[in-house]
Amino acid sequence: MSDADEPPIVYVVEMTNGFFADLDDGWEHFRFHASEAIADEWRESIIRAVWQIVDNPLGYPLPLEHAHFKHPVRRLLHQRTKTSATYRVLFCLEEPVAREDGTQATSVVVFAAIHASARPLSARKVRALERRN
Amino acid sequence: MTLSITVPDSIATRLVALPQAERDSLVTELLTDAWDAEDDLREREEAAIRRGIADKEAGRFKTFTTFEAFRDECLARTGRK
Repeated sequence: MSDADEPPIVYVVEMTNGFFADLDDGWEHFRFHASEAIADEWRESIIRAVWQIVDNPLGYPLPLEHAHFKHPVRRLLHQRTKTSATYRVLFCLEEPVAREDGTQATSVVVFAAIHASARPLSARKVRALERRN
Repeated sequence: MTLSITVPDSIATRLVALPQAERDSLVTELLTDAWDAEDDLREREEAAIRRGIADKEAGRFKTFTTFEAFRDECLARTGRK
């Protein structure tokens, strides 16, 4: 069967609760460290970036270190501006399912949106900071 | 083995002015932090993926076919704390 005979693929977007929790955390992060307006701007930009995944989900790289997961996980890197914090949106594609209308449906499952560098301070780092202050 | 580290000019100037032993110690600390951060990020990504897979398998997800519905849900689920 040639490519022209392949049934068209329709992408369906599935957002996990974890993604929504991360979105909320990110919004709070920007509201606390910048302003509510910046937080709203960040939320709008990442929402649009995530939705654009369906335009070409196979165009996003597979992180090699996650090869052992059952689902091949892909990664979108998102920044509100060129100098703002980077967020990593992690998602996978499920196997296509044939539909009655002749198309194939593939789910894009979005797992998370995590800050690329924010992490809790280690006890060692806290002690070092306390000593300096 | 050669490792390179990029720092702003202002930091480089201070590093050069430091005594050798102090400079070596500081650079070692910077490199160690960088390696730790990379390990930490990988662990956080893996934890996030495990959480996502668990959400999916337990039905804790929502399906969207239009951007408007997705955006409305995102707005409803943020800023409520």
